[in-house]
Amino acid sequence: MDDDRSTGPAPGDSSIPTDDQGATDPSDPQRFGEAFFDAVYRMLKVGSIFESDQEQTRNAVDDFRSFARKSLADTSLRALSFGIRGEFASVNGHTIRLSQQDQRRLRELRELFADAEIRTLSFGRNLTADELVELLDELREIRNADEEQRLEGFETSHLEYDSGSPDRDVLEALGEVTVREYSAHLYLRLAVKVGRLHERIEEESDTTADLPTLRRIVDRIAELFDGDRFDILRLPTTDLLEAGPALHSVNTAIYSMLMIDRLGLRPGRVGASGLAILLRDVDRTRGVDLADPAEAGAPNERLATANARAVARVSGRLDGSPASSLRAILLHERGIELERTIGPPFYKRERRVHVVRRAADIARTYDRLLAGSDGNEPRDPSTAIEALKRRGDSELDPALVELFVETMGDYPVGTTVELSSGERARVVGPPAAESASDRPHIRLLERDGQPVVDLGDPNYQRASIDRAVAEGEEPTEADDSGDDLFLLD
Amino acid sequence: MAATSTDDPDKLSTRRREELRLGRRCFDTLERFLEAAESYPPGHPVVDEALDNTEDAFDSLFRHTDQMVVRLEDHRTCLLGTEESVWETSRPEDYCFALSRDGVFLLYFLGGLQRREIRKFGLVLRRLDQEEVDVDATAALYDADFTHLEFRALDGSMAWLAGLNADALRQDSEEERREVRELFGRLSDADAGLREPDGDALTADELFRTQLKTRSERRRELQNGTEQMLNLRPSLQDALGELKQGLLTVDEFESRYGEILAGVLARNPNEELVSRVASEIADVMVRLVEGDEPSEALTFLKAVHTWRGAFEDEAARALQTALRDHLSDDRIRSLVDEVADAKPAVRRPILRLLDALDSEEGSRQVLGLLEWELGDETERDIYRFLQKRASSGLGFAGDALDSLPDDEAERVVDIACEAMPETRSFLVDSLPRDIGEELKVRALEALEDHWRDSREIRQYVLPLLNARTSELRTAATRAVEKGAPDQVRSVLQAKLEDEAFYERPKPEIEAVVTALAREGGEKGLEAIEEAIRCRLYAGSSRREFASKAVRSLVKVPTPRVADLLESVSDDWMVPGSVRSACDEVLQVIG
Repeated sequence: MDDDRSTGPAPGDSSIPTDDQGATDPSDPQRFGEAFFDAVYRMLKVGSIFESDQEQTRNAVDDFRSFARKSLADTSLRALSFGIRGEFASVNGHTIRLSQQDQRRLRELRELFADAEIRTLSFGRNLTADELVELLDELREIRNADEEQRLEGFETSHLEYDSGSPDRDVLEALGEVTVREYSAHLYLRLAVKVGRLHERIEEESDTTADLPTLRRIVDRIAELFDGDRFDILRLPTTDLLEAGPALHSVNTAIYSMLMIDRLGLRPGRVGASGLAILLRDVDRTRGVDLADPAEAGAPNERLATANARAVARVSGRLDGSPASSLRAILLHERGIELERTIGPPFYKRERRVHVVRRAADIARTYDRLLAGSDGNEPRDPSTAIEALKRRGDSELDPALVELFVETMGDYPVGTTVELSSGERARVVGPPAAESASDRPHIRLLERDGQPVVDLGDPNYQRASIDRAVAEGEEPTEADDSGDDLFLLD
Repeated sequence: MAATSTDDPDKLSTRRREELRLGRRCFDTLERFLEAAESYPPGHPVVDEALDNTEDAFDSLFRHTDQMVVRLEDHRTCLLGTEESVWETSRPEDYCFALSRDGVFLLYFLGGLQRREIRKFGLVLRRLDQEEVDVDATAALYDADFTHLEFRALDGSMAWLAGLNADALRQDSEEERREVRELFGRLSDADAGLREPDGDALTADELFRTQLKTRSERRRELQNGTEQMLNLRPSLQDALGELKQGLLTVDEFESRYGEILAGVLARNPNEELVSRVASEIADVMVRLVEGDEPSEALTFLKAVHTWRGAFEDEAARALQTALRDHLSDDRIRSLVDEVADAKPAVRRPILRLLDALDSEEGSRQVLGLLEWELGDETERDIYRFLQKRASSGLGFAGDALDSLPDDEAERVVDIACEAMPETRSFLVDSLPRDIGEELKVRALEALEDHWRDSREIRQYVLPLLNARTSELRTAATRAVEKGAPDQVRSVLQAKLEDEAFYERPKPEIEAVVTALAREGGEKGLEAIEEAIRCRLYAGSSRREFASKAVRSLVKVPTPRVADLLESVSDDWMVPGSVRSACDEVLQVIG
C-alpha cells in the first residue's frame, strides 16, 4: 500500500469519527458501509506503516474494535465482512457506492488484498486486539517480502478470510463452475425459498413472496432449458429434500417449464409460466381456494363467480407481469374440464383451457406418481411415464403428454436401468433431441469414477437399455461380452 | 470517450474486425444519443436524429452478424472473446461501472433490435449514469423486459459457486444460504460427478458464451417448435402449435387475462377492488404498449371492452382514469414516434388505440407530427385520426395550431369546421391565434349560429373588425350581427361616419349596412339614411359608397326600409345615381 498522505489519514491518525451515531447501524447498508470502509481502511493503512508494538497501531486496533463492537451490539449479524471485487467494495454483502476519494483508497486496499490473495475479511463478534494485530503483522510481512507470498494458514477464532484474487474476472471465476452444479444450486435455492414461503404461510407469519429472486431463479432455469441443458431434471428424483406441497410445487413448475420450453417459446414466457405455477400453489396454501373445491363441475355461473372471487382475492398481489396474468388465468380456469371450450360466463368468446394449466396438470401428475400419493406407492420414473401415457388418453392433454414423454425419453432422468451388458446405470439426462427416446444420458454405476455417457452417441451404438429396474432389485447375471460394449472403437 | 482498442486488432479475423468496427460505431452513436437526450427534451429533432443514427448503426451491425455480445468491465465494454474495447471511458462513474457494480457482466444485442428498444435501453443507461439516483442495474434491466437485448448478471448461485463477492449473494437470507449450503454439501457427497467436468459438463462460462440461439434457430423454434416437437406426428404438432398460441399471441394471452379482469369489474366489486383491478388492466396495457407490437394493446383493450356493458359507471370511470394515469408522456411519445415511422399495419392500430384511450397528450403529439416531412399515406392517416378526434372537440390542438405550417393548419381548421358544433371551443380559441386570416374567416363562418353570448363576441370577434383583410372584417361583422345583435349599433354605426370605410369592397359595406338595418333599431336606420342621403356636391367615392349601401338594403325588405328609400329617392338634393339605386331596390322589395 502506498504511503499516500493526500488520500489517507495522517500516520497514527486512526481515529474513527464517532459523532455520527447512525454510522454504526448496519441496517442502513450504504451509510454503514461507508463508515465501515473508512474504519477498515484506517486500520489497515496504519498497520501497513507502523509496527505492531507502536502506539499508533495499538490505537488503530482499539478504535476498530470499538467501532465493530458497537455495530454488532444491536444486530443479529455474527460478523462484519469487508470484500473487494475489482473496483467495488462490499460490506456485509452490499456493494457500496464510494466517493472519488474513497475509490482511490479502495485501490490501495485492493493492492494489499491482491498481494495477500484475499477477497474478503470477516470480523466476528468477540474479535480480540491480538487477532487484529496478528493479521496486520501477516499483511505487513507479505507486503515487505521479496518473493510472492499469500495469506495462508492464518487461523484465528474471530477473524476469517476468503482466499482468491480481488481482481478476479467474473467470467474467469465462472469458468470453474459446471452447469451441473449451477443447475443443482438453482434448484436447491428454489426449493428452500418456496419451502420457507409455504412454512411462513402456514404459520401465518410473513406471507410475502420474494418475487424478484423467485423470478430470477426460474428465469435462469428457463434459460438453461433454452440452451438445451436439462441437468436440473436430476434433482426432483433425488431424496435430498423432504416431500411436501412446496417441493411438489417446485417440481411441478420445473416439469411444466420443460414442456413450455419444448413448444419453442422464449425463456421469458417459460419462466413466467413456472413462476405462475409456484404462485398459484402459494395462493392455494394461503387459502384462496378455500370453500371452492365443491364448485368444480358446478353449473357455469357458480363456478365462474367462485373463480372470479378467487382472482379478486389475489388482485392486490398482481403486478401487470406475464406471471401475474398466468396466475390469474390458472385461478380463473380451475375446475374446468380440459376437453371443454370455455365461453360465457368465463369469457365472451369461446376459448380452450390454457396451455399452462394443461402443462401443470401433467407435471403434477408425474411428480405425484414419483412421490406416491393418495395411498399409492412411489413409482420409478419409467413406470410413472407409462402411467402418464395411459392417462394422456383421458385426463390429460394427449399432445402435451406426448411432448413430455418425447423430451423425457422412455427412461426418464432418475431411472435405474439394466443395460444389455447386465450393467447397472442411472439415467442422468434425457435423450438428445436427435437421439431415439430410449437412448438417454446415463451414469455407469459400476465403473470407476461412474462416468456419464450419451447413449445417443454413435460410439455407443452397440449398447442398449434392457429394462428399468426397481430400487434394490438384484442384478441379473452379467453378459460375458458386456465389458466390451463401451469400448470406443 | 471514443471507442479505442487495447490490443492489436489485426490478430482478429476479418469478420471479427468488422464486427468490432460496427460495434464501436453502435456504442459511439449510442453515447451521442444519450448526450442529446440529456440536453434536449424527448421528441426534439436533435434527439431523434441521434436515435436515427444509433438505429442505423445497429442495422449495419446486424447486416453483418445476428448478435453482438459484449463483456462489461468497470469502465469499458469489450467484444466477448477478445480484449478489444468496444467502448471505454475515463470517467470515474459511468453506466459500465453501474452495470458491473450490480453484477451485470454480459450484454447481448440481438438482431431485430429496433428504435423502441434502443430508446428504452438508453433510458435505462441514463438512469444508471445519474449518480444521485440509486438504481439497481439488474432490476432496471429486468423491468425493461427487452426482447432483443439480453444480459447476464451474477445471481446468488453463480456468486456463491464462483466465490465472488457480489450483492447477488443477498438474494437469499442468511438462513436460506445456510440451508442451501448444507443441502448442496450433501448433494456433492452423494453425487461425485457434480463438480467434475466430465464429457457432458459444460462450464457456466462456456454456456454463457454459446447459449444464445442464432436468429434462424430461434425463428424456426418459434414458428415450428423444438426438435422434440417436430419428432411427433403431424396431428400432434398441429395441436401443440395451437396450444402454444396461449403464450404467444395477445389475443390468446393478454386478452384472455383482460377478459378475466374485466369479468371481475363486471361483478359489482367494491371501490377498492375496482381500483386494484383497473390499475392491473392499465399495467398490462402499458406492458403491451412498451412491447414489440404496441398496437396490440388495442386488441387487449377491445377484449376488456367486450365486458364494458356490464360495468357500473364508477368502474368505467376508474378504468379510464387508470389508463390515462399509467400512460406517461414518455410512453405516449414512443407510441407517436411509431406513427411517424411505422408501416400502415402498425400505424393505424396505434392511432386507433390513442383514439380509444381518449388521450389528449397523444392526440397533441400526433398533431405535432404534421410539422414534419411525412409520407402522403401517413399524413392521410393522421387526418383521419384527427377527424375522429374532432368528435371530442380538438381541445388538444389549440397550441399546436401556432406552429403548424399553413397548409396543415388549414386542414385542421377545416376538420374542426366540419365537426361543428363539437369543435366550437377549438374554433373560438383559434380566432386570436397567429394563423392565416382566411382560416379565421372559415372559423367565423362555421361559428355563425353557435355564439354563446355577447361577451364572447367582445373578446374574440371585435378585434377582428379591424383585421387586415376585408374578408375577415366582413365575416367578423356578420358574427357580431349573429352573436351580439344588441351590440350592433354601438360597434358598427361609427363605420358609416368613417371616410376610409367608403372605399371598402361591397361585401364589407353590405355586411355593416344590413346588420345596422336589421339589428340597429331606429337609430341604426337613421345612421344609414344619413350615410346614403349624400348631397349633389359629394365626391365620387362618397356617391359610390351611398349607392352600394342602398343596394345592400335589398336584403332587408321591411316597410321601414322602403319608406327610407322612398324618402331618399324623392330628395332632389341627392345625386341621381343614388336616387336611381333607391328606385331599383324599391322595385325589388315592392
